[in-house]
Amino acid sequence: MERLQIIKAELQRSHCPAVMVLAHPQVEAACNLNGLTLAELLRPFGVIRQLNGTVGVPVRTPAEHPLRLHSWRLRFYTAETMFQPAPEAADEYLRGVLSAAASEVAGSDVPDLQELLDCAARREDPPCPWYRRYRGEFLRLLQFGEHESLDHPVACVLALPADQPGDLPAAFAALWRHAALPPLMQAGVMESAGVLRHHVLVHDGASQGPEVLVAARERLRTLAGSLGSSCQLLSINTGSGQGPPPGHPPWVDLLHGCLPGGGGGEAAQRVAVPAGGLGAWLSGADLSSLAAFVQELSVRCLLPHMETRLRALNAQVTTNRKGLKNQLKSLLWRKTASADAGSGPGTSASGSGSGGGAGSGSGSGSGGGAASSLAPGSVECQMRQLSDLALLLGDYETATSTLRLLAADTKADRGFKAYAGALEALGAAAVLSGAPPSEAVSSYREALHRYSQLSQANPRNREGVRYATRAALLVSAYLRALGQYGEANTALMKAHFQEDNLRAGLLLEQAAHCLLALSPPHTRKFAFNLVLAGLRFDMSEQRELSGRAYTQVVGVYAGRQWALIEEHLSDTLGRQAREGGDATTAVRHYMDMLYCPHNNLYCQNLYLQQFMDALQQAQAQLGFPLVLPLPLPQVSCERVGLQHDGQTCYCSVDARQVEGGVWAALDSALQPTAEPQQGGSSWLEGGSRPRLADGDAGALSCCVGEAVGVDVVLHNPLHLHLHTTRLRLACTCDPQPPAGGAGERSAAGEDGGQQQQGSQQGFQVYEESVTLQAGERVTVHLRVVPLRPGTLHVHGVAWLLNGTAHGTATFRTPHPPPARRGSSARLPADTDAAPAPRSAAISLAVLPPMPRLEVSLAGLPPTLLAGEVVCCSMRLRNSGAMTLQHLTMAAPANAGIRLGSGAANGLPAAQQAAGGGAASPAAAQRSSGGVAEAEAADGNGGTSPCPPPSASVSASASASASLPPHLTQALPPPSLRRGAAVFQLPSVRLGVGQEVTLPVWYRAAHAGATHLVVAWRYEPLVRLDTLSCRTARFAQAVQALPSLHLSARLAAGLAGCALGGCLLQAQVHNCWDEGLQVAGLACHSTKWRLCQSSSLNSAGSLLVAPDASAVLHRQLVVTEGAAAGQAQHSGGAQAPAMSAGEAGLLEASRQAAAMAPAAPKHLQPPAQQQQQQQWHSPQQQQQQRHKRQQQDAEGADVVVVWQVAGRAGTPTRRGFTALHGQRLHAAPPIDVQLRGAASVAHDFEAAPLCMLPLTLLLRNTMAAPAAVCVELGRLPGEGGPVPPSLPTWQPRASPLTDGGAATPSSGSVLLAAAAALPPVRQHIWCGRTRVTLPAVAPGGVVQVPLSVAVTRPGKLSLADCHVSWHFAGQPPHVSGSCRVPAHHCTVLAAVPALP
Amino acid sequence: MVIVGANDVPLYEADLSAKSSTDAGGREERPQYLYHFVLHAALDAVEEAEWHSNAMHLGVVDRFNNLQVSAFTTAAHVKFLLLHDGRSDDLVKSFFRDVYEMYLRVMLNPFHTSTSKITAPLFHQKVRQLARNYFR
Repeated sequence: MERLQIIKAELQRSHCPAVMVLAHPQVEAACNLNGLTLAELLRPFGVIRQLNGTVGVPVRTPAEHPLRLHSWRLRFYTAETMFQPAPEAADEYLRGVLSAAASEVAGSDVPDLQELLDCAARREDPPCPWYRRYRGEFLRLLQFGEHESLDHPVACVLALPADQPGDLPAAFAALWRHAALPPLMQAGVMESAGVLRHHVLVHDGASQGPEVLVAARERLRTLAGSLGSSCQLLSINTGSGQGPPPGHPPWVDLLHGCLPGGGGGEAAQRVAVPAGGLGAWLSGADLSSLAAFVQELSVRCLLPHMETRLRALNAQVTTNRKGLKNQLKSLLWRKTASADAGSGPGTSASGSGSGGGAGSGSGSGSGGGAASSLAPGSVECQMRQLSDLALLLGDYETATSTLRLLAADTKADRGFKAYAGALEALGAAAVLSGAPPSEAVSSYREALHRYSQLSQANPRNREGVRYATRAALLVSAYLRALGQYGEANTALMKAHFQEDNLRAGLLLEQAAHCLLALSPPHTRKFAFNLVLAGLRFDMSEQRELSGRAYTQVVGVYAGRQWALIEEHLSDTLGRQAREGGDATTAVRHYMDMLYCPHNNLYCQNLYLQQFMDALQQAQAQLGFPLVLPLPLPQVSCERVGLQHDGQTCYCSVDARQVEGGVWAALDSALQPTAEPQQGGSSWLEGGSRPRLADGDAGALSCCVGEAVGVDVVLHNPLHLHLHTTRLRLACTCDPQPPAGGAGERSAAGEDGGQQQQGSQQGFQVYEESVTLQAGERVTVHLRVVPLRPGTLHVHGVAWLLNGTAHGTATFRTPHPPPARRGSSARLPADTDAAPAPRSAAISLAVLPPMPRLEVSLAGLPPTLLAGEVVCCSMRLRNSGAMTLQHLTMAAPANAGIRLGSGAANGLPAAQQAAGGGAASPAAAQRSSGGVAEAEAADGNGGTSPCPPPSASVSASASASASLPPHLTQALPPPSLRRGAAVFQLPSVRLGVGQEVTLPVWYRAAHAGATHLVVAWRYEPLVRLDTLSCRTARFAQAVQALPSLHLSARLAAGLAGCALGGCLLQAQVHNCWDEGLQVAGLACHSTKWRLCQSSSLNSAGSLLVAPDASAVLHRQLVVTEGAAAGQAQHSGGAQAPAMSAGEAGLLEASRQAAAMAPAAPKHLQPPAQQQQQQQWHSPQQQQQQRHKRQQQDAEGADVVVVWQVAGRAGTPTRRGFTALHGQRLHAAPPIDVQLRGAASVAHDFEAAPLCMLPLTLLLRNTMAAPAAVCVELGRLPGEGGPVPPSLPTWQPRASPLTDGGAATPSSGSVLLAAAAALPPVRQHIWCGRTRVTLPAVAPGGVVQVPLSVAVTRPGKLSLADCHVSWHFAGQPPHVSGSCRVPAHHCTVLAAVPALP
Repeated sequence: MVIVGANDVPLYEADLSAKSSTDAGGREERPQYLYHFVLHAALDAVEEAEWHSNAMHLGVVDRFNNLQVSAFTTAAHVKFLLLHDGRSDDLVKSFFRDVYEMYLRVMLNPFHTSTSKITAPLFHQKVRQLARNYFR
């Protein structure tokens, strides 16, 4: 309600009587001493707080309603200023007003969105002081319109000097006659006859003496006789001229700006302000007399005059327009009259004459609207005067009824301007009278609509637009006071469409603020309206207001990814900032536009060019280069690859591709076991031991002099090329603080400066240059080398774009998880699900200089065959700053890697054995493992598969003299430790720059992509507390192609097998594209050996074509020392020649197969890991592991040595395929079968027992005679078979408890036997239940007749027959037994024939 | 046409006008800015219309000069906005329904999240085809 009262008060200030002041020049001169005109002098006293004390002044309304005025207000204007200024002049003046108001807020902060929302929530006016000033001036300049009489003067003050000579009435008449009257009054539009003329004699106390005042009183008394009571004497300028008395009225607030042509109630030029200020010559008496003068004028003259005039006008209107007769007349005749195009009495075409006066120009813009204005003297004009007078007096009822009547008439006459004016006044009357808001709002809206139609009908007529804007301002203010912000927004938006840019911007801005006051606030629409306002402000060159509007909405669109909108905002703000001379701000806005992949090439080039231009301008202003967070090129700051060598060094690119678990397993294997424990012996205290894999939690480290690399991904999202130079890491370094003091901090790369050289910076960065093609994404490896111990901080990347713009990007990597010291990690991007804290920099602890082992491998082809044995040379070089020692190498046990040694390497094992030299460690291991025998291939025996490597130490030139003599000796055998083979070179010591080359045998067991993985551990010569040892990781990718696929079977009990032996069946399939020549087949076992005089086909020099298969057969006989558990190796001319490396690899393969389940998880095949995790508990795994190791020890290894049938001159490629732990698939040496009738019918009534004849067939499949014992009727679980070699072989009768039957010699015996039978038995063997055959010839078949007695009908299953055998020839003695396969028979009860 | 997800982030934008394929070059894309502003400003009206209707098709929710914004909202408050010059509401409704079906198919992709931008060329092609079928 408070806001509504403010609106009402504002309307009352504008709806008060206007008083015209016509002063003699001498009077004006007297007033000008105070810096004011007479009208301005009287203006502050126009506000009368109390009329006639507290009683008030009664006013008689036409409707005789009691009305009493308690306060009043008069507006005093100089007569010549009472006109509307020209629209152009008014707009120019208003533009200046707005610019001045905008400049006052230029330095203030732009409120953000939240502040605006808070302001709107408190129902406060938006923080737009420029709008209030503009609105006030705009409404002032729209006064004195021709279609409304609200601002027409109701009285005129005629002022003559007190010493005016001559006849005063004539002088007053001459003053009226010769004065510059308002243009509209001169044109007759403004009423002049009904204006009250108030005569005043002004005594100038500064120039006239008291006698003049006395004479003037006398003359005034005489004048009152002729002119009536409207004559007064006013005395001014009785002060000292030093200044106004205290408590003087606020003239300054009531003085408005002057237009060049004047108008709007103000003169063209303001009177000069005296030194004493406004009202300098006025005294307190003067102020009192002025107030008394205005009071007297109001109460005694003006109010009665207005009352009289109101009643007179009401009488005229009632006579001419009101009543039934007049309404009918109007209804019937008005159409005809309006058809006369305004020439009739109701409306007249005042045309340009309505605008009137020279210089005012108000009529020039009336145009088509002139036909709609009110004709002087017409009934409509009288109605308008009546309604306006009623409004001025506060008689809102009369005003409203008259205005409604006027609106109906003017609407019928299509005088829309007058109609709109009447509606506007009707709205004001509704607001002032407290009518329902809808009435006022509808009136104002209709007025807005009708005013807008004026310009739509005639676009050149801008007058309607201005009045429409006035109506919109009034109704929006009223609606906002009512809290109807949506309606206010609509009114303002409707008004802005036809307005010029400046006012449209203001209207849009207010419309936008209305949206913020809605509930919920429409922030997005607010932003849009404000952007439109900013555009209009920008087009009207109001950059300050435009910039504020755009700045306020940036927060609404930020982060919403509306690319075009953000681009428009940045473009506009950047251009405005650049035009305003703020190049630095322009650069930042233009920089935001650079990332625009959705734009075409032209736009991208344009944006880049304008950014570069602005940047150069800004750098010229600042005098130093600007370092900006450029969006081009895009830098992957959230995911960078960090490569640093702390405790661990990566010696090849492939080493970084290997899974970390493999390295962890190798590091675990490299951990020295013999190291004395510093803590206790329990596992709880083991954590305190320095372990290789442990480091400071989360700490990254590197060594002095060793480069730290960062892989940064750069992306060019645009369609044009980007030249990036001076690309480098932005680093700082904290030197190792001395004891008790903080270290210095040095920085580089952030100032866009040069490459840092020298040790004073603590590090050295290397710069790169890269040209990014359109859409290209590259990974750049940037390096920094620390030069002294301390802490190195890598903050980000810095670069120079296109030779002009210095860009920088800060890494936003999450805090790395606790990692091992020296580990290489690709720091992952942060995810939304787990917002990890981000670190501003990557910090590395810089360690003192350390030895560094570089490992390289030569001779390993990228592609080889599965099972192929390759000999390559591994080069070790110490590139660090200290001598290293205690070299230890670890490789996965199943990886097929063997480290050779000096002179012992490269020679075939057979040659070494024949020459009596020291066998290689691998060969010795193989011997102890029990290689049984090998069969040589033709022509290849004893030849080396590949040329022996240069197994010598090739030290550098400086170090060649100190050739380590220990390397010429054999290496100690590798030890298996935690699934890895560990090779130790304990006495090797490499100085700085020294290198050594070692032969390495490699064999990829399986086809597919794999890595040759090796980890080296070494220690510095001088052990440091910070880093006691380092490891070097080397890996090389190898692709193994499928070669020879092998499957084998050991079958015993076959025909022709030697006693105790078995038959080896090996099936090979060539999966390669070329032919493979099988060089030999070997079987390594502790139980068997290959038969020397095998009669089976020989596999020597068997060529297997591509995609062909072959089967190899070999007889295996029992090794002589097998019973005693001794493993023997019998070489021979026919054994395949396996070099020391091959033999070592074979042994490694066997060991890997044996310990595969015990290997660490990362050193096992994936399928095996999964099986273990899913199905077996650790205890079960342990049991299975022991069982499997036992079985593997008993099993045989089948090895096929092959070589590629290469061309002449090409090196021979050899390899072998092995199957480990093959077990025997045995069959019984005696074949047994029980035969008989399948179905028998027997009459059990006739004979209680049914005798069935059966035949047992025996066949000896072995090559030696066998003693066989057949035992009948023994149920399962009644004890094992009795070996036939025991003395119990002799025939004897089985005891009855065994279920056996007596010898079926007679029928009485049968009966006795039947009586003794257990009742559960269905059948009883008859005759001998134990038959011994002393000698069954090899391959011979023996038939044994048997007989069984069946006691009842049914199905019979004879499964209780066992056979035992014993081969008693040359050792080995073979014994065994088996159950005879069951014989099934059906016994039917025969029906006896009827007698 | 724009598909707007959570936090007013546009998931898909397409210019379905006939002149969209011609690349005028330069700064001839000024109306595009206005279209995006109008569409973004219409989100307030869409949210207001969501409270007044149970249907997914909200009809014309906002106007600016001779431009109209029709809206369609999903259960997840993903908004489909179409800026047009006064097309039939039935056509717009059918168009939205078909686009919604295609949108559901995109959402069935297990690798697509509710905040991912729709960049599938096939989706764009089908939307353009639908626009041609309905509005030309």
